[in-house]
Amino acid sequence: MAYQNYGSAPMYGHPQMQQQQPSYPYAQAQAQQPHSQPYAQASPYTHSSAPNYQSAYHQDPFREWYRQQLSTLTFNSRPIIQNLSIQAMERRDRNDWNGMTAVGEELERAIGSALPTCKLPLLYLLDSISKNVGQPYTTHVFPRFIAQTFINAYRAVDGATRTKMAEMLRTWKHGGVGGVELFGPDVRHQIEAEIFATRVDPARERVVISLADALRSKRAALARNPEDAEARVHVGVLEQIERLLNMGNVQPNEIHEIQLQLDKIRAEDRGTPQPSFAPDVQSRPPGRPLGEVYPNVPIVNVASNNSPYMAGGNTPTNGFQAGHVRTGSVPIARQTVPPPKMDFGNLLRDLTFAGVIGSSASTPVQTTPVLQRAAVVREGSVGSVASSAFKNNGSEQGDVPDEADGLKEYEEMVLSMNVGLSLNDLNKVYDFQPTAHLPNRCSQCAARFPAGPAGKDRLQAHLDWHFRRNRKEKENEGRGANRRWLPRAEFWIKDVTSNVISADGASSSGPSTSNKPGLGMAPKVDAAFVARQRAELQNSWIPVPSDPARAALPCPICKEKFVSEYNEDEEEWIWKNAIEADGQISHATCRSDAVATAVANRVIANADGKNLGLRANSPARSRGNTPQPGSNNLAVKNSPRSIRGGTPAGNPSPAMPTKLATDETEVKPSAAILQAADRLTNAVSQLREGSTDSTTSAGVKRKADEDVDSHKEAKREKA
Amino acid sequence: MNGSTTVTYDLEAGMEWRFELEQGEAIAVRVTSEEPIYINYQEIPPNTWYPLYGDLRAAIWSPSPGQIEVSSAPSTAYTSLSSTFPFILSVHLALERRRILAKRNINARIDYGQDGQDEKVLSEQERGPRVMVLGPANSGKSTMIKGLLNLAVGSGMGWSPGVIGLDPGTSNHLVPGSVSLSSPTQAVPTHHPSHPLGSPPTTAAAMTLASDVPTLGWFVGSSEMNTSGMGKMCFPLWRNVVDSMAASWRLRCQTDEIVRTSGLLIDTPTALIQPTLGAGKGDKTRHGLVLQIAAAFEVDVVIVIGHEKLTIEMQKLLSGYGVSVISAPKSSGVVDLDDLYRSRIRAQQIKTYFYGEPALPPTLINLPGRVAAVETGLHPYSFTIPWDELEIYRVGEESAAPSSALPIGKQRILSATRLTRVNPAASPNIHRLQNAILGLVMVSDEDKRTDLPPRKVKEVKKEETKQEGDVKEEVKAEEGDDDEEEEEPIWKEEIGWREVCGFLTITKVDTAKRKFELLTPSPGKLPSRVALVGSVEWIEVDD
Repeated sequence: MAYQNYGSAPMYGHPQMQQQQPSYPYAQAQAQQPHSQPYAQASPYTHSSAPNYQSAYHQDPFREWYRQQLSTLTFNSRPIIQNLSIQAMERRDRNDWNGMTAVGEELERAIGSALPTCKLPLLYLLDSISKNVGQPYTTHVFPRFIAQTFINAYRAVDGATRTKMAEMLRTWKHGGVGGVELFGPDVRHQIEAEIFATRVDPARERVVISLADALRSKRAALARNPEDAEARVHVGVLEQIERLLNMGNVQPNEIHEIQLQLDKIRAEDRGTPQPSFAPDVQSRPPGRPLGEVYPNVPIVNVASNNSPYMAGGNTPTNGFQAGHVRTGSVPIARQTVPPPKMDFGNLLRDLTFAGVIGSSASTPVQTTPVLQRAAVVREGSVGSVASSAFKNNGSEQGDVPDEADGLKEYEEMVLSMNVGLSLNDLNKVYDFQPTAHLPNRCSQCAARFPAGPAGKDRLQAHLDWHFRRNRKEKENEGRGANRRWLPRAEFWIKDVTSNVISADGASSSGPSTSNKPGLGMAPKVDAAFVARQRAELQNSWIPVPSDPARAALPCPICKEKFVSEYNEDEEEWIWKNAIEADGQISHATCRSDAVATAVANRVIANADGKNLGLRANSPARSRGNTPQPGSNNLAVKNSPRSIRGGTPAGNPSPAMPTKLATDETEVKPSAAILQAADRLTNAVSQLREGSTDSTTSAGVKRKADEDVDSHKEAKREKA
Repeated sequence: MNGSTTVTYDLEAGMEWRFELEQGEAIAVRVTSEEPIYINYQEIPPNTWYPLYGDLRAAIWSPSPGQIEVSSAPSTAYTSLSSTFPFILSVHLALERRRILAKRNINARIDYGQDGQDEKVLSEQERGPRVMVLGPANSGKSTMIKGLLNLAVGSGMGWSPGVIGLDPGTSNHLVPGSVSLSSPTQAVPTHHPSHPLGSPPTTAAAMTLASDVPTLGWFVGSSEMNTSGMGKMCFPLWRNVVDSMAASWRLRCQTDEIVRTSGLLIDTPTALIQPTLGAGKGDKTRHGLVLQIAAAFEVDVVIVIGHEKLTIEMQKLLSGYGVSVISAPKSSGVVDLDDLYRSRIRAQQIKTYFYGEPALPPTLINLPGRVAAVETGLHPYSFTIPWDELEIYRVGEESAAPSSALPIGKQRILSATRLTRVNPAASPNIHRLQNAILGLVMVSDEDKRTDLPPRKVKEVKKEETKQEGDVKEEVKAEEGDDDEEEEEPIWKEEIGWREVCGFLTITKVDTAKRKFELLTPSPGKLPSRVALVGSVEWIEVDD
């Protein structure tokens, strides 16, 4: 039997298991295929791109085993793809470079030599590894060959498969966690240029590259000087442009304009050193594209009309409201550029506002009457960028809502108009602009939000929704959607939170709920609650690892670097929004998302429930001082603000404590679920690891987590 | 920007730009000025092409001087300074005032520490306005409702008014022949005439904010409020449906204070202006249905559009109950829609229910610049099931055996809303079922009749053997049954006015194989085996 040939060889990486009989889990799959031949005889693999292959084959049982497995992947088999992905992940976890190279080379060879009908599952495997394991596969192993391999495969396969491949390719665009390019734009563009030759626009490519450059340099600038609010704004705008570019909806002339402006930026930045390992600015979680860094994008437009912004990167000021602007931001020069064309969309105006590009007064902008009269005050300090108040000093009442969202003023105004249901009243024409009290405006749709930080939070939640929706749409492409059955009346009656649950878990802070007012009796699971959970995750932190090698590692999920900041209370450098689990440090938010996805997948995959008992018994493995996602005390700490923020009337309600208590009880089960989910994932991964390497004792799996940890440690040492 | 065909219109303050699209005509509008410009009081997003297609007839209103760019000049478009939108805004301000007061009353009660103690007491002070809109055909009732809704949900206050669509001819969210109760939270766009107040949820991520409107639907069997003829409305059923809707609404208000303070908007069918509509023989009550609706939903504002006499009648009728009756002007821009147009829109509605919103015409997709998102296409599901697996009932069947045919001394007491099983084997029923829209009703054992004669048991047994037995033999047996007597339904009448869990259509009745070919919105097993049928039909055509 083929298996025996391999079974006698030392098991890769598990010397302690040499004596054990064939319980190498993948061997079982082989055992079911008694006719499978040793690789060398099975097929004439003579792919030239793997020159070391023959020697490696003899030396490396893992490689040999992997190849064997790949040869079984002739149909779209979820278990095989899963197993092979996990194996690839294990190599990554062990930092086993040879193993990872073997995976890459074997995969390359297998795709190249497979029959046209069998190429797709192999590509799916590649896709799976890239998306589930990520670096270094996506950065070092695969990019070397992926474009050529993909193109060759594409040319070999039939139409239906091509469609599927194109679909897969499309997912690569935002396949990285956080919606980033899975392999970097170059790879995808190379493929796209080949397979849909007409669709690639070289101008666009240039812009993308320039944009990436500009973004990098701006981020670096921000990293050098985190106080630089300007840079922060720039980064925000550039990030938005990048996102819009990625989404496709940009016209050639717009691209051209962007290119012009980017060149200008580049010219400005020339000579600026780019620190190689400067901490990345992206303290935001992947799900929040605009993040805290730049919550103001959409509103920003309103001011550009009459604001002579400086091109040189100074604080933008409003021409006739200069008195409101802090000193220290002196307009230096007014750079005139040709007026950007109308159909630029928002992005150029965003650029304009941010002072990245010069502006001209003829730029058409959207604004509201209130804001027309309002001064936009920007202050030169970091904190105020995020919470910079759009002072509504020109409204009818002449009041200046500072921290409030202006809804109270709106209420008062409506009440004072005292329109009754009489024809007399109704036939009057009122000077009332329905959206005037909602200055915070979404740049992507017609949604508007109240002023002040509360309104901004809602706008941001709304933008998150857009982002998630776009991502989800991409994921769903090709999958047929259908109309749901209608709910039973009982469900609708109780469905006070319908909009929270409606789309999917991720849309938590979805559009609808973000508009729900806290009437003092907010819906049970509302956007505030979800936002709170998110905030908890973002607030979790760990000390920066002392091991420099470790400290240099990015988050394994989103591949973004951690941002070090000094915590006064702890007197230590910390990473925010970070969590350590399984000896890996990842963003807390990333991990939470990943866990949620993993659990969902698992629930579907492991319907047999065979291992349920095991999973349930496995305790959580997080370190003592690591804040758990959704930890209770954090939730409580964060609750009051959210609640208060959600009460537009703003009247301090004595019922607040009661409400808090309710919210707390709401938090608990959810936190518990999160933790349970965490446990589940850990347990399952242990189970997998256990079953791959430990043949002796199923008992190992059942031991407490410390045991497993030490077991793993031991394994690592041996490896 | 191609700039080749686009047309720019300058709008004066308070000016309406009205357009009427022909079949197949598609345009897109983009706002190029600063001030907000509205379509049915949804603000048109800035610098975004806003598609308008599918026979849409509507008006874009600019409260302040503004400018719009149109992708191509529509066949009919003109501007007018006489707009009803300011009136709608005034009504909104009055309603908004009531909502704010209701909200403050709730907050005050909570402040006084009586939180949740007597939530069952729905104090009038804590309730938002319940508005019913009445008016003749083509007077702009739906426009009024949509404007008021968009103003409410667009206020940033987070209102979520209940919306009741009582017009089975133009369903707000579902298919003709149905009435609905929904709770939108987002401003609804106006791109095309289907699902004018948003679509019920799909399995895909919502494309637009207005999607995924939580909706309850009831099936009333006819898209017309006719008192006779084929599409005859069963008014007793209609009345029961109204009460069923009202019960759901009241229950929701008890727990959901946002909905409670936001109030209710009721769109009504044109036929309600007929004073004698739905009255039984010898019933002298005028406007019985209006009274019933007003009572069921505790309506306190009635807006009558463009009908002075009706306004006076309503004032007489309702003022005693503390209802404010307002006369609203009819817009000079409303188009008299012909029957052909209406039937086309109805077919499009049903298609939208199954297939999602009409696809964006290619001319609009390729516009330079961003185009507002529209829901993508949906994939309904087609399959065949044996006749036995779908019990189809008709509510208020006319043809009953004459009393003279009953045994002497027996009197048949017929309920107006009794259920009649529609046997597909009987030849007239085949035509009735072919292409019919069915409303699927969830039933449980509790809905089984307890008053059935024991004979029924035998039949049930027979049905069981039927499934195993030889088909051909059964055909004969079945035909024999038909001649004898109509099958007694095993369900209580109540299921006739229960909310439906969805709609499906019979695309084919296969008499040889005794199977139905169905088109359902969702894949998988049908959520129920019991369906209601009426006179609503739909033949799928590719357009």
